[in-house]
Amino acid sequence: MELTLQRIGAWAGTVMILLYGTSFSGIAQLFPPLSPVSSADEIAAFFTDHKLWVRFGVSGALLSAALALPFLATIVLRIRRAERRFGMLSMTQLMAATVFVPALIFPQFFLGVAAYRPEQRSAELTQALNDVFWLWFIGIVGTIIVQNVTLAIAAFVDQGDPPTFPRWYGYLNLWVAILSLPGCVVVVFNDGPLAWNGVFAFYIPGLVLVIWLFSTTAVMLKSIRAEQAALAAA
Amino acid sequence: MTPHTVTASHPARRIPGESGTWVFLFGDMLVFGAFFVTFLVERAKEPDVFDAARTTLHLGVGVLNTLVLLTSSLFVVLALTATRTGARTLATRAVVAAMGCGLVFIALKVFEYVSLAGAGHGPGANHFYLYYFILTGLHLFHVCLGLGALAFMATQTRRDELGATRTALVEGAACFWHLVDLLWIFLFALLYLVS
Repeated sequence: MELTLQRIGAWAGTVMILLYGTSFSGIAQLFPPLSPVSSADEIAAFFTDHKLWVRFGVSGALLSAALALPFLATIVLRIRRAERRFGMLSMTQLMAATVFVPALIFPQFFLGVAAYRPEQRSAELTQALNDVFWLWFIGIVGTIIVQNVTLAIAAFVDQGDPPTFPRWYGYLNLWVAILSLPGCVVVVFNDGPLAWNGVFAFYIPGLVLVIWLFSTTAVMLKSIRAEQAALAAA
Repeated sequence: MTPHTVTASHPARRIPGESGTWVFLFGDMLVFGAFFVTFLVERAKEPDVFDAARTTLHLGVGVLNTLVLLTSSLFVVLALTATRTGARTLATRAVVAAMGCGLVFIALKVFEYVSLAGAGHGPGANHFYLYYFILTGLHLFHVCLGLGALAFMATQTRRDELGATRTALVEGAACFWHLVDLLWIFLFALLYLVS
């Protein structure tokens, strides 16, 4: 039963990002991101024109982000299996994973507020709310990097039989960690590739996060199935 | 992992390092490739600005840095060969020499940054300098990671005998350093030479 629940948890990460992405990009139409060099009037006009779409998109994102919780629990439990107890790696992963869902949920409220009455306030206020959303949304990368690094170490010290993580998955996590790094300087740049709509701060970290979620689901499913098969054979 | 003993003459063709290392190496190359394309797209938008700014770079320092990194790669090859044949002292010295080259590279890069910023060509000056600082900065970060990899290699070359896993890790570290070298050659051509 426990392992079946873990399999559901492994799927939850992929399902979460699909629903979250649909809400954010499809319904709220925030992909590609708004530009940090747009004037206050342009930003306010976007929120006035799309306010219902943004509100529904935010609602969907708020709900779907919570689906990551069982996914994160599965990661912690798989790391515990790799290191055979609740040691440093599983505990560090647990602490870092705690921030994952709030990082997806809390900034959404600023979008919600921006779209709540955009025509009744000055454009600069809407622009400020929009700024808070993007800087917060893109800027939290440190905890995800800690998640990647603990997973990488877990993959390298894995003692499970059958193995919990393949070694290539460890290297994949190191790769994701390095590419997520530029997100932390998003508050420094108003324009260019490191601004919140730039290649280095938005597109590449976003792409590697999605790759990480998909591959984590696949890797965990495979190893849980192998563990179930080994238990059934024993 | 496939068990294998490493000798100087291995009969079958074999990928250096463990195969997982290449997920990281190819992933990194892919991303730098994306950065290079981004740079070229930006350059196509303002060709005159980019070309004028390019000539303000220190070509001599760039050439010197390329030679420094190529030399360091040579030392790494030497170190790996020495490790395989059990010449531990030579291997350790070669790794330390490669690390020395890496430090020289960093020092030259810092000199370039300070001199460019002093001449009013900081990252805010125009898009060329912005990309120059970001791309070379990211590469410099890789050089620092590579120095860490070489430091690990130096701790392993002192050992009497390396098992299959340790050998693969040492090879992986060497491959990473070659990647750092390779990326710089592309970066050097793109930033300093292409007009």
